[in-house]
Amino acid sequence: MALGFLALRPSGGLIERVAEAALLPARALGPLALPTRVVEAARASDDRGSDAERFAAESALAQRLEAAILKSAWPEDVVLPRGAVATLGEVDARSGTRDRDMVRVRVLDPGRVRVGQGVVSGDVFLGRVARVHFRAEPPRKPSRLTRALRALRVLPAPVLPPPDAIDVALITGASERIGAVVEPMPEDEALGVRPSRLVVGGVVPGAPTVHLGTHVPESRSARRGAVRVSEPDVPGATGALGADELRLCDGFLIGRLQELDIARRGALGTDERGIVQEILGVAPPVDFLSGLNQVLVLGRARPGDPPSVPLRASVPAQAGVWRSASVLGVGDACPWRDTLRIGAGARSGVARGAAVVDGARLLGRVTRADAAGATVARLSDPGTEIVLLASHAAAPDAVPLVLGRLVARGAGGGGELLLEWSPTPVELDRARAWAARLGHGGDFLDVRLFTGSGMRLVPRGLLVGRTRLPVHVRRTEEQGPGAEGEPALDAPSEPALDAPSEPALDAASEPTLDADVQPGFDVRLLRVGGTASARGALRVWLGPGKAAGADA
Amino acid sequence: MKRAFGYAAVAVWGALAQTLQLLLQGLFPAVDVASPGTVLVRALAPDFATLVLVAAVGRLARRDALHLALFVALGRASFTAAPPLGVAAGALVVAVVADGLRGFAELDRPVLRFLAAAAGAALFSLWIGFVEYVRFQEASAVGVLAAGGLGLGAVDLSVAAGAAGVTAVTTAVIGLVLWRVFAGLPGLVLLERRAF
Repeated sequence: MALGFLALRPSGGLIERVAEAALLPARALGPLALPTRVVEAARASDDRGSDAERFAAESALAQRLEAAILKSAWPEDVVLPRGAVATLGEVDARSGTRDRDMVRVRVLDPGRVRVGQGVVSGDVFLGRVARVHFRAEPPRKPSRLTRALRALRVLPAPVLPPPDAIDVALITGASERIGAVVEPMPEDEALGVRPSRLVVGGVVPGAPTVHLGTHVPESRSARRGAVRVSEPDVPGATGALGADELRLCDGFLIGRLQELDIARRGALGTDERGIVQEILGVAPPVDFLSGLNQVLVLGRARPGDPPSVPLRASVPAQAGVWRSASVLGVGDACPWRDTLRIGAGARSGVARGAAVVDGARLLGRVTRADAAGATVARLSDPGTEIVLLASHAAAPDAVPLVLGRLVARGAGGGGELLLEWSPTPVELDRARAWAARLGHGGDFLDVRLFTGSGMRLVPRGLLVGRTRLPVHVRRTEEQGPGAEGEPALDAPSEPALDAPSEPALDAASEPTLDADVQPGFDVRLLRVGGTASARGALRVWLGPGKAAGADA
Repeated sequence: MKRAFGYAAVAVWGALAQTLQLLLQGLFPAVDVASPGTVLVRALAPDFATLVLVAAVGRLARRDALHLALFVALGRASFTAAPPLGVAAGALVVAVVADGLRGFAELDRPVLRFLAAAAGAALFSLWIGFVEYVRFQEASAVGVLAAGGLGLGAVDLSVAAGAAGVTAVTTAVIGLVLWRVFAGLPGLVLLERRAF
């Protein structure tokens, strides 16, 4: 009973580490699985070879995609105010902060960042700087007992945040507030609705998807429209509301104002049957949980600030610390899993969550690392979640689209990867705007999928494959202000795309596959071709290394 | 010392049995959640490690059942992404079930060996699925990206249960046919105790 209970506890605990240590002798049995390697190699549907030429082409493409990711931090429609100094930052793994409303960011120039400054990504406002680690007080010296337990490896060693790390309090936080203005829709404006002020912050409890809360609206007539930052000019104010440096974020988008029908809850969460409240909420254009990548911290130049760091080219992920690994065989006997066992393990520095690549293509992530090897969940392992970006296949240098979190549904009959994409209506609108910006008007867009920032031990710019993204196919049931005036389609129509010109890779190496649009569900199944193969020489990401880490 | 070698042999047989299952599974196409048949086809590979355990429990003294379970778990834990404690707990459940059936009659009887193998394989598979599901829910609650397994409806629980059933039947059939092979594995004789 006790074993059963402990088995259900979250992974990585003390008991689990002890169990791993106790199982160490059994790891010597690992070579017994070598025959499965033959089967795994036969299963690999790699007809692309793994020569140096392909690797070089993929690496070059990955670097171009990385450069495009870095561009995504800068606003496209909003103009930065005069006197604003923008500091580039990259979202670190969300595991750095346990609070969902807090995100850790590694900035290029931490000397310029101060608590209270606004943080934006593209044209979207995200939150404010809550903590600058290198300015924070050092942690207290641990007690002798703690040090002894750490020496015995019973307690894990402390992980200090890197000096370029800052914590950003997202606008979704319960105590976060920002002044804003609602820009009414043109048809409402014709009816006399004027821009009105309100305060935005926190989330609406009980809403089906994340909606930011609205407070003290100036007018009740504005029920929909774009909500942008508009901090009041309060001389001498230093708090969140009216802070001078937050006003640099004026004009940045917070989201779209919507009316929400929410079932009213009584005391202690009891349902007051049948009573529905109409609440105003702001639908954010980004997925705060997994859609954040590159950001800008906006502040004013101050006399004591260090000289500005020139914007260097990012150190590519391929220049990080990698460890080559051989495939030992199939990783798990569960019939619904798709896993691999590799020879590189914890002794080589491989950790849980690390990316495993074939060339510059992501094959999967390590789910368990022990002294004798590691188990890898392939991207086609059903249930595997991954945060991805999409780049137009014909324009890899253009600013990519953040798709957010996708869930693997397995492998199709042709060996293609099946990924489930569930965008919110606002995210879908953003995808359409992105496609329109690229001059594309068809139902599907030929895109290349790759990794962004924010996943622990997964570098940005790793290729996943190519697919056709259904950006302009709408469900007939789709509701919302954005749906008006657009044709409703039941089934995907044939894509009308020109053949994309490949920058370096031939079409055979990256077949582009269609997506299934499932009517009645806000779910799109992407069929991804040109994915990684376990046949080639695999490598595991150990970390960015000192050089890359300093370059964020 | 003799018993230590015996238990080591049990661990090696457990690992080899698991390898054999992986080998067979690798011959089948990859999983496509939209086609539950692909999961069920992969589930056709029998759970040989459970057979090793059930046969050993059937042959050896009842007081050795716990040790046998832990050593088989030691062997099979090398080849699974499931948490080691989950594997150990699952093996213990299998040993308890086999031992319970043994209370009625010797497991050599065809019906009992069929039942013991089927129940053991089904329970182990369902247990590992349950452990994965609970861990996924916990990870999801704190916003951690899931790394495969049951959850989010990626693999339907009914499909997982169906897969457990298929594995149970194939394991039981293999147990029925090859019982003598599993009960007579080299090394088990080192663990036999004198009756008087």
